[in-house]
Amino acid sequence: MTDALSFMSSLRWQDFLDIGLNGFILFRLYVLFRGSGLIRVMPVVVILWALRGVALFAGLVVTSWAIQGIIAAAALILIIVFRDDIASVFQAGNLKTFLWGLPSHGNITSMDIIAQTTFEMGKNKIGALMVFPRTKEINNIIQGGIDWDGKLSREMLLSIFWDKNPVHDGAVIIKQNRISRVGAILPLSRRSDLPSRYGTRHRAGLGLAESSDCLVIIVSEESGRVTVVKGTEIKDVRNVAQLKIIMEGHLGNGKKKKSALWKNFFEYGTSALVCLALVTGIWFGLSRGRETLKSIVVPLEYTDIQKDFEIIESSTNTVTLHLGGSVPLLKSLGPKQIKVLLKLNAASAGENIYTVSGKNIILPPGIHLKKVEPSSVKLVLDGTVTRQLPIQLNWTGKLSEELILANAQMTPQNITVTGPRKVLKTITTLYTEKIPLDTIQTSGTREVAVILQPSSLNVADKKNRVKVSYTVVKREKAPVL
Amino acid sequence: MKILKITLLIIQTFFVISPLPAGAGEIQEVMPSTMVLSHAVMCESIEDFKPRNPAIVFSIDLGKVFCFTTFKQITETTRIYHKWFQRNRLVSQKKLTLKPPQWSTISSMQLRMADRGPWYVEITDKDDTLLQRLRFSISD
Repeated sequence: MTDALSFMSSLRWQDFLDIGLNGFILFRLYVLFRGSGLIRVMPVVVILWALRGVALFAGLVVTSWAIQGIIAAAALILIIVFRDDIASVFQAGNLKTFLWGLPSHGNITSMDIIAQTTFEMGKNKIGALMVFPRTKEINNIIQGGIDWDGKLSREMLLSIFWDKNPVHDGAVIIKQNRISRVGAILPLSRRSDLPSRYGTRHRAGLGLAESSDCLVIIVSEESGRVTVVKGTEIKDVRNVAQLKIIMEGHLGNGKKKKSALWKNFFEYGTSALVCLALVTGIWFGLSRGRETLKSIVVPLEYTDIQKDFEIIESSTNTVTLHLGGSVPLLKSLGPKQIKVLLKLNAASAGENIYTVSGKNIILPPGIHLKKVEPSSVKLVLDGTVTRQLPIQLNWTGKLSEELILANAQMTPQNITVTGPRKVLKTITTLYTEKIPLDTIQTSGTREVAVILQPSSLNVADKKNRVKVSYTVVKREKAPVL
Repeated sequence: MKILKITLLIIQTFFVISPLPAGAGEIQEVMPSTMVLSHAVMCESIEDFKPRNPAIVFSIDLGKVFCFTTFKQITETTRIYHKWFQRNRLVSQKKLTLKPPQWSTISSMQLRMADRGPWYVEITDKDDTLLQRLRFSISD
């Protein structure tokens, strides 16, 4: 119990966020790709991945290598094969749909088709009479008509009730999303209290409804008004939504919808829990697995160094970090993921000693610092100054014994350099690159570079070249005694 | 005996003032006293109290290189220094005495194989004021 509590207290809020975020991403991927071929193939890839782990654990080098290759190839193949599925997921809908919404898969129910087509016919003054039987048999009530058994669609309904169609005056019987009969003749109602605006179609619809449990939808050819009849009740319907509600009430689809909602809720809820459990497992496997130690050498990074200050000496440029963490995390750890930063904003000229601790070290989550070596760094800082220094020519090689290099003039004779005060204080002369004497036979000129040593010195505009004019004279022969 | 010989070699008087040879360097500061450094040159040898073969590059085969300086308008006995630098490292500092009214002094450096490279000699007065810097190279 104590262990569990201490373990829970070691978790950070970032860890919960990490698990939650990745669980959500995994869940969203499932939701978006649900029903596509990609989701069906994914378990195979997961099994392969697990097999590779087993092969690696068992020391089957070639097998693990081969499975790794297969997984890599499979990933590529899956992207190519299921490119349409992937594209449709990324193209469909807006960001909200992508992050939150549930895909409709573009399915419009037959009720939608009927309701929308009904009002379309009403708008175009196309008379229609549609019958939706429920449990009672109506074959003995209706007469005539042609058996159809066709799939329900907007186009089909419009063509059936098109006024040039021979069966357009009859009723359409719709059973279980299929048009079972067209041109059916319904019994007329004998009611005398019907308003005068209702015509024969309405009377026929009412006649059937009175003697069965059917729902009848009537579209007036004259007014375009949509009327629904059930039992002895006759009702005008104003919009698609109202018609849908009436139809759902009649066909009992309301309950079905509710149960579908519950089914969906159960399915998505289970999926969400599975995703969360999966990510939690992976997270614990990665970050809280078997702990190990690793030493890594990291270069020191200096920040906020004051203007005109330079580091002229440091006791070390790297530190060795002894790190602890789970095996997979430490295995994947690279030097680029770690930073050791020393802020030099408070540094002064001269010797500065900085302690390297956890505060200076940026580590990836899940990795913790055990020890730093060395734990302190000595830095010598100095201000930058600019000075003019004389240049000296650095002749090398062997001049012909008959010649004397009598003189050499440089242009310019001095060079302006910038560098640490302490360094420049000790330098009195800068030297050119080596100028070979072996090739010199006569007086001449040449251009040579000035060597900036130590490298902390800088020359303005990189103008570190000088022109040398030298004079060579013939050596006088020593007098013979 | 050896000390006496060196002293005799170094402290020599010249009454003939030679013109400043080309490449012998330039006087960088005017002396605060009336004493004037009229001639300063690096040379291969000294003959008849005169610098022989003044140059800016000397072969290590010569075995020795000389710094020759002449002062005039000396009002009282004083001393100067010849400071020999290999690159920026002081190798040797030679204290030399000057006597009125005009005096020439010499210092030399025995060359070894490791002495190749750029050198300079700083000529300073008794107060360590730089009078002139002569630059030269030791070559193969």
